[in-house]
Amino acid sequence: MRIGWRIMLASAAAVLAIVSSILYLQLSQPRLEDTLIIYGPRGISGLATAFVREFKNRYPNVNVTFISYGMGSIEIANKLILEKDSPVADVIMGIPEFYAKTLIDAGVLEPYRPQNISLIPVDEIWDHTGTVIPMDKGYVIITYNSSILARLGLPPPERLDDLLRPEYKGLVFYQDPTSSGTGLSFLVWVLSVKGVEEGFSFLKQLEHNVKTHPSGWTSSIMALKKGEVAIGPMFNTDVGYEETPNLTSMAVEGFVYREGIALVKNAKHPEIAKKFIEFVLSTEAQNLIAPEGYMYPVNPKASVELFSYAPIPSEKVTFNAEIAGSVEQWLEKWRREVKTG
Amino acid sequence: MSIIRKLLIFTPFFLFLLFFYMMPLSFLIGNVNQKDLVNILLDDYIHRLFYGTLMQAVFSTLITLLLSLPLAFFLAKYSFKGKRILEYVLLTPFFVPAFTVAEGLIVLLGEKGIVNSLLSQIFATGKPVVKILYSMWAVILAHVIYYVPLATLILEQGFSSVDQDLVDAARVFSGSTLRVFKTVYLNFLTPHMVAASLLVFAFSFITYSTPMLVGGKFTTLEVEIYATRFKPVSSSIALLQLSSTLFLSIIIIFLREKYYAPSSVERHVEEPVSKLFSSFSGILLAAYVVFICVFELTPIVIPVVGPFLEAGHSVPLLFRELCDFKFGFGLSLSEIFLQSLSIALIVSVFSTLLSVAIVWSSKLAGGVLEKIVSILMVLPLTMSRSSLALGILLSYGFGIVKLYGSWMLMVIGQSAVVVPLATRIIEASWSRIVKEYREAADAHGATVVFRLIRVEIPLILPAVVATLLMAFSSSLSDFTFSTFFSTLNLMTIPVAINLLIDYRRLNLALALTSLLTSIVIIVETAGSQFSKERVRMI
Repeated sequence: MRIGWRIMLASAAAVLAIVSSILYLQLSQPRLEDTLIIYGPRGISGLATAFVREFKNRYPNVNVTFISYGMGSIEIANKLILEKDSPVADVIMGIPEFYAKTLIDAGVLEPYRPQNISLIPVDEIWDHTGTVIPMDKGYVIITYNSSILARLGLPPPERLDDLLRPEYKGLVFYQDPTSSGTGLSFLVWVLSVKGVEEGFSFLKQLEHNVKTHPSGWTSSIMALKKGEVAIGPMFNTDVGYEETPNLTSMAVEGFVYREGIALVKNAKHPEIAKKFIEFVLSTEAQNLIAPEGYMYPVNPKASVELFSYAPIPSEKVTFNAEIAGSVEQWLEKWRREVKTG
Repeated sequence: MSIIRKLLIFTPFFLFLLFFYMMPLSFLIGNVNQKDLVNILLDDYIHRLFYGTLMQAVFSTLITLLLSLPLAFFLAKYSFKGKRILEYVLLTPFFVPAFTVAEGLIVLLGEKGIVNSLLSQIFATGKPVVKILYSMWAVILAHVIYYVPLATLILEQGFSSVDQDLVDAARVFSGSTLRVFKTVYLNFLTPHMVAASLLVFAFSFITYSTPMLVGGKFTTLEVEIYATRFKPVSSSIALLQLSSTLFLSIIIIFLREKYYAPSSVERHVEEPVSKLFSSFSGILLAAYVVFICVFELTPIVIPVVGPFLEAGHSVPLLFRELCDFKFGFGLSLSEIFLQSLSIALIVSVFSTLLSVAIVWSSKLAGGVLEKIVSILMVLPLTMSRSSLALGILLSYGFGIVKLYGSWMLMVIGQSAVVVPLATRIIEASWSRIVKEYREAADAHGATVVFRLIRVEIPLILPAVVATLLMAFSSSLSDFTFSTFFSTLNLMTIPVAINLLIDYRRLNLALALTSLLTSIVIIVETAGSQFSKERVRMI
């Protein structure tokens, strides 16, 4: 059988392209074996990347990688629980304060007291079992579009209860807590202040004023930018964001969202994992937190100058530990009774 | 041909099904808890979701069909320069990220959007007139934008299969346009209408990102699967949804087998488009076509050009910022492009080769086996992507092999979705090979391999090239598998867009989205130059 030169040439070019692609992908990917694996939610990928990059500078011979599987903080924590018998990760970071109890009760974390904990003020340490170490924190506050409220002649909201004002009908939003960390923080804020029963009844009432539940930060910014919504919870560092210049806040009441880092029980690389945790608490690593996102460091020596514009709430609400351990039930209840109720 | 040989020939298809679907789905079904399954069947909340999803899909289908009919008639009846390019450019919404269309819808239909600004000025209301954003109707509208082009292309084939002699005869005897439509067109169109409706219905039924982005409080079964995706109950809901779409697929297949025969049209006449302007109804049709094109393309064009039009965002500056940005573990934009293009290249070549092998072997086997392949290849088109991605992650990411972190997992996921589409395109082209060519090759003693290389492949070459391009653009714009399987060392353009959003760099994210959309449009348009078979995927 004779094959024409054009077909031969085309086939050769195709084979060459494929082989080059495979070789490029194969050679540009590090191997996961003998690598310190850090789990965390997708939302902190930027910060995790900066941590890992600096950690590698400090320990050049250590392989480290961060894996999120595109998951949120609750999902990645649940994945760790699923892998309890044969853990893949050595460290988990970005554990929300309100989900720490579930992880601790599941027995997937190893208590560890790093030396650098001495750099962290006592009031920043929220897990008193000594298992989850504080890493960073952020402030969720009630923000509003000042130009829309001024045009409508409406007073700005200050507290959670203000959101129920009938004149705000169709102007309020809060993110879907099943897909957004900010939305979940808002839900936890409401339940921490009001308790579970009353909290859900508040959210059901609030639904009369809510126009939409954006799936995340982008859709919130998009809706705010286009003037579709005017009032809703955002992180305090989102105030003054260039895409939404009219977004502001009275910053009276706010929720302190706190995240931690922990050593995984039966981790394959416990010694280097401990070094990583030590590093995360160091001033050098904590200095990376503000530039890489919207959270504040817990080490007071670290710089927060970048956020000098952001309003800090005068009344800070923290998670009510008495209601801990039921995040998944809350999310289900929210989907069933609030969003589609 | 012996049974064993027939079965051996069947191997490529069987391996595809086993590797890409049966294995991942068995891991998924293995997770199903009987108690959960019974509970969700009796659960009022799930019933409400099911009903809402169903109603939304029914309305999406009806409106899509209604809007597509006149456009399909126009495309089948009139010829003009650039017609094929227009058909494929219109298909763009089907391939661009959902995020793009959602942003376009917000700009168009928001309270301060273009439509409301115009209407409130016209009617001097001083407030928004259309309030459908963040509701089920916004989801329906987005689906209409996505699927009108697809339905149009299917219906266009229906109109093209109408014999002009029959139309002329009906016109002479009845005179009424309505009666001509009823007696002639409807007969030929019914199977195409059924096929288009069921496909649009199935796609709307498994919708996820559209309700998340513009649905407000409206939600669907797929969103519930996503919300519970790492809990055992998710597998039960996925199974419920899978059964529903499977049932639908079987109806599609049944109707396809019953009605969808190759066109045997005696005389199909295309008239020059200039003739349209000789009558009032023609002018109305032309105006309608222009309206639909604007309706389809505006939500795409706005997000593509938007980032560059906004004050302070000059194109060179945005691209310089994008090029300087470091993604993941220090990946540059060029590295991400290289990774995306490499993966897209592997997916497109692998999927096309596998599709050719599947179609070739099924045609060799013939009879019942050919029919089974053709039938089963429709099923994956209506399957939930997130359920499949979850199954692949469980089976090949951490199960029988541990491929998490490797580019191979992304290639597996994307190929699982692309191969069924590619197979349909190749199959449609293969069916049009004139039987006599094959018989002539056989009469000269050609082996099946010789016949494949020297006769069949050259005849389907335009379809093969079009398939390569379709697979390439599908892979480039894939979001589901890319998000599930990417790491900070391995990412595609849609994942990089997501990462930019996480970094709060919305202007860069929109610029990259517009770049990706432009690439997809260019690849789509290039594909249109090669083959018309791409629209025959039904």
